[in-house]
Amino acid sequence: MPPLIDPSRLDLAAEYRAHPFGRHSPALQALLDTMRRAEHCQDLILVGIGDSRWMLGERRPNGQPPRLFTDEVFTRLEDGEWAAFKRRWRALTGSELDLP
Amino acid sequence: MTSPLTPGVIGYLDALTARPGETVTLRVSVLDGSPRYRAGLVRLISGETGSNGPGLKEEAIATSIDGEHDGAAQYTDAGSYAIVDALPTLSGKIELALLVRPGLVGGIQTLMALGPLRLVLDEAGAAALIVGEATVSTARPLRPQWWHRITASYDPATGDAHVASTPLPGPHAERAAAVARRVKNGIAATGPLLLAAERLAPGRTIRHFTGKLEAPRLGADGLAAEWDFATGISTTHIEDRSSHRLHGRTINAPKRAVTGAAWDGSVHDWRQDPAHYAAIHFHADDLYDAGWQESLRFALPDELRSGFYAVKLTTAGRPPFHVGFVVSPRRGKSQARLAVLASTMTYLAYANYRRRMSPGPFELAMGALPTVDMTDVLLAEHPEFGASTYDMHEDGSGVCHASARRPLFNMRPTGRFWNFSMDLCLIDWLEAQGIDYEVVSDHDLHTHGAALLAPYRVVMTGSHP
Repeated sequence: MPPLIDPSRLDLAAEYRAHPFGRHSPALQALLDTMRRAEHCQDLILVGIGDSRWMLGERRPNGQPPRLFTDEVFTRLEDGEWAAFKRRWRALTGSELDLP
Repeated sequence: MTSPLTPGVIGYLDALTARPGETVTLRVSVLDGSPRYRAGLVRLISGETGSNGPGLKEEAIATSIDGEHDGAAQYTDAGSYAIVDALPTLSGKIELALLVRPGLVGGIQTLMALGPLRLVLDEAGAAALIVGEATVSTARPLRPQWWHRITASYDPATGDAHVASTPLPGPHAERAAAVARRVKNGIAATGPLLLAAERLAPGRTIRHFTGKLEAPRLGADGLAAEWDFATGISTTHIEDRSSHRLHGRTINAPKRAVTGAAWDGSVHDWRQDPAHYAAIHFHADDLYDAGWQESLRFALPDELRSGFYAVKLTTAGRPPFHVGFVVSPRRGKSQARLAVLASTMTYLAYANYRRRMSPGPFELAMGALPTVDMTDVLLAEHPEFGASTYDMHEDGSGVCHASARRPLFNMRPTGRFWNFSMDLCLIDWLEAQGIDYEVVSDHDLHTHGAALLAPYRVVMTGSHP
């Protein structure tokens, strides 16, 4: 079965990295809609830890405290979004996202 | 112990609105084990807006609470129940009966407690009578969301115990079950009577029941009490219909005016026929009043200007916790032509909103990852602080009460850009424009009516009136 997103579309990844927020091309929006579906989104959130710093977190059922990914701290929300994008790319394509 | 990134101290005020010169009471709980915490009053001008906005602006106001204080953790006794305090000495055979509609199964849930004599749903959800150390169970689980009649008795003279559960007429009548056994005699049932929980110590209850109860009865020698929850629906009073008048009260705001076993769909408003709404819906996660001891009391300065304020609490190395409130102008002393109506009712409705921490479709709708902060994480670590009216209880029923007598995690200038913190944008803009204003609250308006707004030429509402 082919992957749900096309691992050769590095152009869409590059578009997202450049502009994670706002309006996207239809192809990128379709890719994001797939990534953000409940079964693929990995329940990721961004957790602010003060002084404009964020970590990725994973929400857990019934409002339990999220699991925090403390190994990486972001100073821009955009960087956190990009880290989540890469995690989901890896999960959906089976390969690391390696953009020049 | 909490995460090292979360606030180490939290608190709440006795009122969401105060006036210059008034005394304010603060209740504080230290969560991180620190022996001392810092407190101070700040006027809030702008919230935490992120890099595209002006950012947090707050101004320290000198009061008597400035500085360090001794502190300790305070216990929160969450979970709703009813209690009949003034019970006479019980003698002879004890007989218990009530209607039960379980909301969920799991763990021991106490239905009626008289000291060492307790009628419960056991871990499997079956009706059981606990007599001292012995448990007599029907071993047949009740069906969640269905009504059942449960009866039980214990004779301390002989040790004879009996318990039975019978589904009310319906498609599952074959699930009736009964058991009788002889257990240790001489166990004395004692007051107070608790419904939907049992008491470990005054102010500490355990084994809360989640679901509906109706028409509890207690019989003993010379006693036949029967509580009718259809009476006093709009109050915290529960009424004993018998001549003994053993009235009680509800704790932590269980939901009343809920359909009971007699509801047949012919009415849809409890006021039309209260007998159809003779149940109370209890929840293990209800909270009306955290009941903490008073920690600090201080007078607001006489000349304090009207606005958004917070008591800022901190322990060493931890982020602060803001206890937000509104300072209204002195009655009859309004001077500005513009009033900002602070949406304190909305703030309360959203207080301790928990759904953002549960998996959901928010990202698809928002086009960005949901963002929370460590104060939100702290709330998730403490289910005992209750939820918002946008949340659900564990049994899937909606939360319908919002109380200010508990720590409120959304009345702060930090975190989610929503309601309270978003309304600070308006304050910051008024300040930047040099426009004179005063802040009044929904609670002020509720108390004083339209006359409160009469002195003003303009009233501005917030981001979510």
